[in-house]
Amino acid sequence: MNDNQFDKIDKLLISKSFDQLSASEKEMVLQTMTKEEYMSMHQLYEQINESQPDEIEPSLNVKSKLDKVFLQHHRKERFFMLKTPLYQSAAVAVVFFLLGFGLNYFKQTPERIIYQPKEIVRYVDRPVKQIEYVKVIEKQYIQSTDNSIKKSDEETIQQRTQNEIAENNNYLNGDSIGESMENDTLLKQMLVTLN
Amino acid sequence: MSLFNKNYSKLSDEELMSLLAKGGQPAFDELYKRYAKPMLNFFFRLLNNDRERAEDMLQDLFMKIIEHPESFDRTRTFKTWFYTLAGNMVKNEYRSRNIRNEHAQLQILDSITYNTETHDKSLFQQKLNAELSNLDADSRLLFELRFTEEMSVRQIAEIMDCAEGTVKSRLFYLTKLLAKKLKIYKPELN
Repeated sequence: MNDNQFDKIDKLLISKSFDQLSASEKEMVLQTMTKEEYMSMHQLYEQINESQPDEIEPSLNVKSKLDKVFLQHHRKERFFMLKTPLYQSAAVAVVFFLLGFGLNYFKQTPERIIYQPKEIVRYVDRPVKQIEYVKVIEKQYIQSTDNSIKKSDEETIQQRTQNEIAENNNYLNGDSIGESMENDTLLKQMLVTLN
Repeated sequence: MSLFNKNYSKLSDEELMSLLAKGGQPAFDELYKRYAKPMLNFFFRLLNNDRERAEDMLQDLFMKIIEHPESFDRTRTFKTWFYTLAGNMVKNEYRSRNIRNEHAQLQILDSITYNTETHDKSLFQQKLNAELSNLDADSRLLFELRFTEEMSVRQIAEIMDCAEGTVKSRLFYLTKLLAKKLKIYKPELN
């Protein structure tokens, strides 16, 4: 059966019973199917047209759910698809760059010197002279690399030393007579006791 | 106000779809108004009168156009494209519910025996539904599109993605098969 035949027979099945067909139509129909087949198919078409099934209505719940989804979806989309002109975007980028640059320029990071110990191991096969520089209190020791101490300093040192010796001799000779005091050293206390 | 408010009811489906893609809620509302009921009944009939499942599928169908409006093929009419989506959903459903089909068919046959004294039309409808439930997804879809949705052969060919000639021959043999099976319920034809 070609397309034309189908179209014609389809129209006939919808509109005419077998008895209502013309002789030429019957001839065309019978080339494709039997009389009984035509009659049953025509009945089927009629029945289908007559007995349209009952229709149902969609519940309101469906629409409200879809509305929520629609709002959520397009709210997100609007945010991401916000159209800003290129020059505005470029201007914002420049402002941010300058702001960052300025902050870095004016910001002085505090500097702190850190002495990191550096350990050096040297293997030597001969005697090595090691000079150690020690930091000492100036009152007790006076060191000088070139032995060029000033005269006034020398005198001061000599006088101070003599005073100290005399003080000690006084203790030993009993020139210092008196009682021991709370703040006296143990040696002084012993000297007072002996006297 | 009418200068600024579009009359959505006068717009074509395709124009509404374009507006929907831009986030137009009224366009969506209008499309829903036009298609919700026909699509629900389409699913309802094809899923053996399972209302709950039909509503779920209706919701899924409209979700597709909300979430992916760009998937609308603008070379086609909205109606045939929409029915193609729905048809594919039904085919998938048929694949996953072969077992449930048998159950539904039994239910239909039970209702026929229970309602033996009802009107001839109702009896015919029940028997027709029983026979339709025996068909494969493509044949069932073909029947619905042709006889219930009353679509043209060209539209059906577009929805089912096949040649018009194929649709015609399949329709002819389907009608012939159904007529033969339903003949026993029409004593005057014997």
